[in-house]
Amino acid sequence: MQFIRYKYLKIWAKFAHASFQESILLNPFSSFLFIVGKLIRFGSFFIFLLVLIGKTATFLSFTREQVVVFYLIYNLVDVAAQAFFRGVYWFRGMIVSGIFDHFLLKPIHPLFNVLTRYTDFMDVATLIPLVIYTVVYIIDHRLAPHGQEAFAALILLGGSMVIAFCFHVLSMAVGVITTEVDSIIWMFRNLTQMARLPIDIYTAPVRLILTFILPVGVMITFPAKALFGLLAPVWIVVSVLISGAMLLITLSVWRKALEKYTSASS
Amino acid sequence: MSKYLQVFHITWQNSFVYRLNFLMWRARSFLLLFSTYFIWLAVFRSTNSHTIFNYEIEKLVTYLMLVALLGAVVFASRTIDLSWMINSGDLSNLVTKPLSVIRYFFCQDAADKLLNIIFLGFEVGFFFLLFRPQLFWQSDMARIIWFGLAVALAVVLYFLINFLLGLLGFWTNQVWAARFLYMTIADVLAGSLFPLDILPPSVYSIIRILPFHWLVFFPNQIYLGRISMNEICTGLVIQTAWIVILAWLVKKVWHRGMLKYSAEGR
Repeated sequence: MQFIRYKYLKIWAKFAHASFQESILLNPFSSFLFIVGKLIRFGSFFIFLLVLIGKTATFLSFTREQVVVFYLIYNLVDVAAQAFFRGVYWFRGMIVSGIFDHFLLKPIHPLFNVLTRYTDFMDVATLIPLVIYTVVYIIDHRLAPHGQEAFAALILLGGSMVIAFCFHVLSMAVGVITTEVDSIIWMFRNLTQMARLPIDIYTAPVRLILTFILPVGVMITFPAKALFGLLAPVWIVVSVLISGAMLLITLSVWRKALEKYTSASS
Repeated sequence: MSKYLQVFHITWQNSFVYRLNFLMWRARSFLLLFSTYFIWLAVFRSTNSHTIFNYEIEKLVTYLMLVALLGAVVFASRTIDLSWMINSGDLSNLVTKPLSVIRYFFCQDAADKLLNIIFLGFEVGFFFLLFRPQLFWQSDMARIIWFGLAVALAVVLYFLINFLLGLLGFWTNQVWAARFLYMTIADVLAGSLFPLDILPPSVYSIIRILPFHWLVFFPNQIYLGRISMNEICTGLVIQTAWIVILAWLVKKVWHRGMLKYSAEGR
């Protein structure tokens, strides 16, 4: 088991090294422009948020600092998912060209092989300062009352990455059947954008959907609420169960989709 | 003329080839409108006020609707394909035909815009049925005519900016990074995310100098009756000036690019 874990780590390191060479060494100016674009995208909504919440003492019973943390956690989850599961954007090409056949024959899990093949170092470059800034901001404004809240938030953030993984795998499963992957992934990105601010801004039916059916609320709002001590323990357990259930359903859907794979050409 | 109508017709048909892709794209547009509406609604609820940043709630909701409409009319574009055609050598197919390349892409854009407007009608209708938001209806016919003119100029302006960006393909095959940066900046500076006049006056005065301000925000302000006739006339003159400058640039860059074009990939 230890050998298998070590093997996957080694493979990921090789993939990451190749991605790094491609993005930084072959296309340095493009990489620079992408990083600038990502920073502008982050900064523009951040400024918009500061201007908005500058007008109110509280935002739906959350303090201004808490609203900022909701946005920072959204970015953490979004950027981490983009950085480490970037390979999904190349999946359609693998299906239509038949290269995916080779992925199925290799002694590496095809999901791992596809998703982690292209680690985006431009996102990694923005993720590191984002993590540091988020932690410093939370500590500076004393937003986590006790260590146990921070621990609960970390558990839920782990669940967030599981849910993000599930969404990516579901888009791959749809891609195997329909060859349309990008649209599903962009839909996922738009859905997560709905949780840039706490999902409490939506009506009750929408909140239910964003919690139990398309759990972006569980991905982003719940970890932040857990951090502030605003999430009841039962909801922490429910979040973990939702992540676990989604993983089981996703893997089952993936297996069913593979049964339909017909290898267009190879 | 009939050959350009054929281009329009073929582009229209092409849009329906990948139906799931198309449906997802429309659903994403709806989600964007949906989440932005609820963000602003939450801000009004938090301040317990009918007016914020000098916008009454009806005018702000109308602003959001107009952003969605102008997004469909102004930002829908197929000119993104130009750089790819240059890099792949497929541009040779166009230049050897009795077709103006610029008119070809303009017809493609027109088909894309019409498709966007039709489906936006359904989405906005559905949005109305769900939420019945209060809107501001402009009753001054003169303002509506000026609004229409400003939108028409914005369409031409955005087309020229996009076309110019596509011409970068003559010098580099890494146009996507520049396009990503441009789209991120344009989205913010056009006022798609929030009304630009909520920013500090010093920042807003810098944004006014750039062409993006005249794409969405300026026509919006005409319809909402927030600028005087003098400002409308000045704005239309500035839009026209930008069009003249960009048209001249497009002509120069196209000529230089065609001297360099070597139909690589063919």
